[in-house]
Amino acid sequence: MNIWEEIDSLVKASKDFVLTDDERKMVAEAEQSAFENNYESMKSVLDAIEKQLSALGFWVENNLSKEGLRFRFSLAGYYGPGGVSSQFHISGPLVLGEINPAGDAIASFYNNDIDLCHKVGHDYDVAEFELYLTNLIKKYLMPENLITSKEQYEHFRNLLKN
Amino acid sequence: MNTLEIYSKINETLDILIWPVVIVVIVFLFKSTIATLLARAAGIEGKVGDVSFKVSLQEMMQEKVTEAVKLKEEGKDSEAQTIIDSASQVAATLYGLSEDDIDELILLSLGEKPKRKWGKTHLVRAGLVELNGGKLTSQGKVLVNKYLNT
Repeated sequence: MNIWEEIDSLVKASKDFVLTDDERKMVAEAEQSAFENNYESMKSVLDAIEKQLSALGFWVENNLSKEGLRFRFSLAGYYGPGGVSSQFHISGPLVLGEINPAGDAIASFYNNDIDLCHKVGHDYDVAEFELYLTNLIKKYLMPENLITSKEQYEHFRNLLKN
Repeated sequence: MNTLEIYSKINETLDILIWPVVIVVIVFLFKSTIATLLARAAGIEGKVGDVSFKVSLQEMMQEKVTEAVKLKEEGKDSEAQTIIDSASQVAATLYGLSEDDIDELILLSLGEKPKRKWGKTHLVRAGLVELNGGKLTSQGKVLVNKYLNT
């Protein structure tokens, strides 16, 4: 097998894991309309979280429209911003990609495993959505994300234990 | 023998020879394509999502299951189990299934609700679940019940 035959067979084999254009279009349309149906429910959750965060001194971007969602937050002393934005997963569904606080301020990434992603289309659930976001905020506030010396991490870890 | 007779003899000979020659030429020209087709039909190449391949996989599995049933009838239970185990392993490898996929397929076959609205792409491509709804297809039910649900 020459090198191009090998590359060709790899490309063909990978097709089994990728939606065709028609399938993608069909899934995307269904997910988008489901997202629009979830709009009001998401808005109330995001507005409540924004209020809480602002009261704690966070900077918050609460950008939800029928087209998509971007929710970012940051707190002085921490790397940031952290947060999420909506994206179409490679396997079709609309999911939330997470923004790496220590990386790009806008770019968000989702997990390759669809079961580890938070879905905001057809599989949206308001209680899970709220839990997911509050957990994300907790993750953002971990000592590892605090801009401080290594020695002081211990102090924060001890605080978390109580 | 006059000239006309010789001419018609040559013509007849050519008529007889022309098809074997054409076949030899075709085989020569499409040698690699034919080889690939044969390899696929025999199920040697582990390509998922290929129709001819799936049929041969199914045939192979049926053969294995028949063999296992026979062994069971003869009272050789452990040998039958070994055959089933290796067959489901082969099925899993050829369909590109992970442990999680197998667990999910088994749960679906037991009547659990699909975890998500859309079936996983490679399971859809293998013809095991539906894209819309994520339920098992009839082929998927057969595969799970026969080979995975041991």
